Amino acid sequence: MAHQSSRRPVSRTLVSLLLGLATSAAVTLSSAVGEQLGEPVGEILLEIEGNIEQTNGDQGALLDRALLEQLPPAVLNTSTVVTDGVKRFEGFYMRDLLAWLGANGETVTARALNDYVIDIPIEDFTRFDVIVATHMDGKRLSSRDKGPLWIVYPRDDHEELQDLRYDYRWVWQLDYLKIQ
Amino acid sequence: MRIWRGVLAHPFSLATILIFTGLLAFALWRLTDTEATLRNRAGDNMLWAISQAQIAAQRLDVTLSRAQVAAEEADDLRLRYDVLLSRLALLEAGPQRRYLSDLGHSERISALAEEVYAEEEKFLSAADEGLHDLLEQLAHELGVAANRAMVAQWDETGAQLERQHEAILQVIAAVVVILALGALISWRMLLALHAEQQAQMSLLREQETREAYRNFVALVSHQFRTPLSVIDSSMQRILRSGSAMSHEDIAERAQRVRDRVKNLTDLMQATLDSMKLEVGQVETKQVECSIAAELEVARQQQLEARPERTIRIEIGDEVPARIRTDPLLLQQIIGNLLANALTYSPRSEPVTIRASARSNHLRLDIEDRGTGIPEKEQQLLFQPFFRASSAAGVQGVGIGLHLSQRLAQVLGGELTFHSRQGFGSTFTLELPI
Repeated sequence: MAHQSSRRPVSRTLVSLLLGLATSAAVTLSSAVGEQLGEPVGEILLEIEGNIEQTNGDQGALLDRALLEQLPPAVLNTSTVVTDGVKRFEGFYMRDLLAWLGANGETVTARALNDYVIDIPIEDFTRFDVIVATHMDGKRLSSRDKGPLWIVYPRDDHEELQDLRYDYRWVWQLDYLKIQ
Repeated sequence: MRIWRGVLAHPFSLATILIFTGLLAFALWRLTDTEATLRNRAGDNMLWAISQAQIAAQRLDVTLSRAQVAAEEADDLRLRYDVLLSRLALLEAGPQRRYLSDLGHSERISALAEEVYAEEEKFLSAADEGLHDLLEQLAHELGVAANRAMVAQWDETGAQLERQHEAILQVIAAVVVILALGALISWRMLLALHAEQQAQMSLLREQETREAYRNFVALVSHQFRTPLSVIDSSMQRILRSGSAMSHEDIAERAQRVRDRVKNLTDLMQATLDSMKLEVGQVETKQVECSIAAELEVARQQQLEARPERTIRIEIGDEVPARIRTDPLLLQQIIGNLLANALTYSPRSEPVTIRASARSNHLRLDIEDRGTGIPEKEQQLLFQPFFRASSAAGVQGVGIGLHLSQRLAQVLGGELTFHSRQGFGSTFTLELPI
């Protein structure tokens, strides 16, 4: 994953763009992976509940690292407010994850291992290339730092995102999402 | 180029404009600067970050106590340990570490964090070897740091508010001065405009006066010369004939001379009246008088000289019976207008005086069906000594209308006209009532 190309296929950009245009209040994301959700084998990194079509558990979807790696890889270079310099983040687009699970709603409630909870409007993920990072500068994110998953906004690409009100949506140690 | 020369010629204006521009730039810079400092609030997150680390330390401490009596807490223990490490990692990353270092707490917290990293095995196995003391020290240290951070933030917020306050006051002062300068510049421009207008007006008046004198000289040479030569020739005839001339002949020539002298006297009087008006020496004597009676007097006076003519008087129902005005001046105006109307219209055509009233104005229209006034000469009509080309061959001075208009103004009213060549003219006198 550390050696994936940072370029995204044009067709995928178009798909996300069209999705962004076609959805306004309530966002329905169609599947971008096209595979049924399998059973988790390893440690659960992310639990997703709420209004989703694909589930593999009683409550919702339980995803381990192997399942998450089925999503198309994404790369984002940006600076953050809590580190120095520009960092290279690798992971997957949040909108791809939501599309895969057939998520339908307006808000994503994200929760972290450290009990941090925040509501994020789902349109953030269509308006911006928000990724869920698994690696920073080629190193896997550890739960002893910002890992295993960190929501990262393309802060350097949009002046609009250089704002306190977006900074608090960068959830690290992410382990739970609820779609409403 | 011309504008620049103008500006440079007035050092005051140049200085004002420079100060104006300078103050505007200063105010804008202060506003931008203040806006920029509003965005730059590095310390905002720190209190939260430090407090969360402190809570993580305390929760690990609690979980550790539980795990020491119940082994099933192992997973939770790992989670709490990881969360604490994550919190400490945040505090040790770039911006946060610099902030703590400025507060003088970086080293102490780093040292304790190192100890927490080093004791990983003991923590995860819930060993009871001074871990509580370590966590307690860490929590205490973080508590002190949080305290300092809060005080620093308050200090910074206070100082920032003070700077903003100062900046806003400066901007307000600049704007006030800008407004004052703007008013000053506008005032000076108005003064300059006024002076220019005055200069143009006096130039115009000078030209008018010169024109009036030229007309007067022409008039004197024409109007005075003819009667004077008539008088002279009459006297020569009387002298030359000696006693041969009959008494009737002498009487007839003497009468001719008297007529001409009367013309000259009238001319002198009109000119004197006009001059009096120019220097504002005419006094009005306002009394209650009847409009119908005044108009009838004016009509009779004209009919004495021209008994064959028709003068109609039409008075609207809305016209008040009595008004307050100066009847002498009113008679002079109406007499002038009626004489003109009769002089410049055919004998067969009547002249009409129409009186009407509207709110607080009396309106008198004197209407003739005469030759009318050529359009291009209409604007000169009220000029002293001006005579329309259509008046050629008719005895006159060119002072009557000028005089009438000035008298109308003296009465607080206005004299206007409209005329079509070949159809006739209507002169309108409006007086306040």
